[in-house]
Amino acid sequence: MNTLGVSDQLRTRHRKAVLFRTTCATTVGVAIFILGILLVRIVIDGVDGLDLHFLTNFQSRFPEKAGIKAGLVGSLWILGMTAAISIPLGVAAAIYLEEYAKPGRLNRFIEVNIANLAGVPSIVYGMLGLTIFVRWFSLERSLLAGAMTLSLLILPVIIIASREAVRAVPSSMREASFALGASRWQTVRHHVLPSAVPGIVTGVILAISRAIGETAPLILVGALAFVAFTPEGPMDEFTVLPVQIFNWASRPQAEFHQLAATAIIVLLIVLLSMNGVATWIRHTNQQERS
Amino acid sequence: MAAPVSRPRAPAFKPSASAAPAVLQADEVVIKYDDMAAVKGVTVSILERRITAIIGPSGCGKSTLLRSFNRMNDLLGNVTMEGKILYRGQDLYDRKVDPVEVRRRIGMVFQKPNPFPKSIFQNVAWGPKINGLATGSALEEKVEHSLVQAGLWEEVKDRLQESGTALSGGQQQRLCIARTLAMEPEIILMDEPCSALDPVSTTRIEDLLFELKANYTIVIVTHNMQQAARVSDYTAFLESGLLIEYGQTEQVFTRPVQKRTEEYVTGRFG
Repeated sequence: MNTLGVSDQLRTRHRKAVLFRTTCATTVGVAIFILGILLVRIVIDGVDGLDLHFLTNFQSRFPEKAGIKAGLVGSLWILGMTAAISIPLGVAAAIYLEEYAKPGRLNRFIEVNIANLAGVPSIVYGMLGLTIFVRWFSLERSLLAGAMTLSLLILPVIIIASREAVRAVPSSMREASFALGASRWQTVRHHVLPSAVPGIVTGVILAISRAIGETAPLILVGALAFVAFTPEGPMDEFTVLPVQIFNWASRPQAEFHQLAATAIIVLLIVLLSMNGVATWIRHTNQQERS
Repeated sequence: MAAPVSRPRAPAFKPSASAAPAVLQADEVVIKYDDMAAVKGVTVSILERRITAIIGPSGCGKSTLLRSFNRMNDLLGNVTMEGKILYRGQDLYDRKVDPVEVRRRIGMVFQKPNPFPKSIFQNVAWGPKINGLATGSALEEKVEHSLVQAGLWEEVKDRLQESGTALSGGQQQRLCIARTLAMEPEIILMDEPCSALDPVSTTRIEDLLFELKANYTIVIVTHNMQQAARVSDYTAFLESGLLIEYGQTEQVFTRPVQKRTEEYVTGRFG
């Protein structure tokens, strides 16, 4: 039996391979299909309302006059502040845990618990933010309270992703650096961090994307649904896009539902352009280093 | 404390009167990973401006011993050391000694070429730069001089701004040697520097070692016995964390005192 033909056993193996590939392709197809339906529905409902007035008008009782300005500006404020708080804290924590802290029981305990924190529902962070920032710190219903609450929410994600990125830097690079008489900080600053940036940026994108869509914790810490002004500083009251969307979508009139759809388009555009910037940062960084 | 190990002691090696002074002296060095001892009491002297080869079968502790000479083992959290290592009479593991300063004087070249993902120039310039040894045109001269010493200058002088990782394996390893030389270390430790290279690149690096011997003390760990026989002045043979034999290379390879050494160098095991 020295033929090169297809034996029964080989045929079964091929069949399994085809089956697995088909399953994977179907899963991807279903996901894309559902996403497509969502996008198409929202665009059909909302694209008519998307004009300059919608972006520059404040909230109104009259659907034809209502705009998203307060929510858009509020969201950008919240995002900027959240990023400014959570990225340095998260990356620093990750570097400390990976590069400085001794590996051991305590480190593992912290790692497991950070992973647990990433899975805590956002409403719980809202309660925490309400108790600590709004009440104890007396920050009231301010942008700062909201941004700090969202920072708590996304810190675990940033820390976990940054730790992974730092851990993925080959130890041969650290050794090379130390063998040249570099201190730990010089090693981290010149070799570990630059190599980890693409991974860190990816984690930050995911985290910030989560923050931009959060509604529940911000409602708890006091984001308002009807705001006819834009915030001037971090202690001002505010609203954000998702809260505005939630407010419109829960009204009975169909006109407001259309407004909600239009606001969702705006939210998606903000999200996608942010991701675009982050991808660009990652890309240029990788090119420089390869 | 570990139970005392009974072992065949290497016969006391007495360098002749004409031998060079010792730069590094390991004294009853025991190195453990957690509870597992990789080096079990090694006493050895490394002589100035000589090439010392450390040979032995896999897992005999030769790399661990080498890495203790510039405190690279400190970076692994689970390593403990007993005994002493003296560098010109000074205890390397004294509390007052800064490991950063140790590694500045005792450089290291690794088994796998590990250039930084930076330009060729930056690879060599980084060490002197962060240690404040040179800046500006002095730094440029230093980079050129180091690359010349490492025998790489002619191949890379027109593309110093290209990435060091784009070079061939042998070139990368010579870049790593140039990088180490730029620090003007006194001792260079090499951990199987040719094991990932082809024969031509290996020959180039061996030739380089002969040239460097005039100015540097070199300790080289190698799996390759022919290499040890070719390049080194002194050879230490380690087995299971013990120093079995240490002496002039010619003697170790042609008239070994210990039977295990003879079996190893003639290729009967290992």
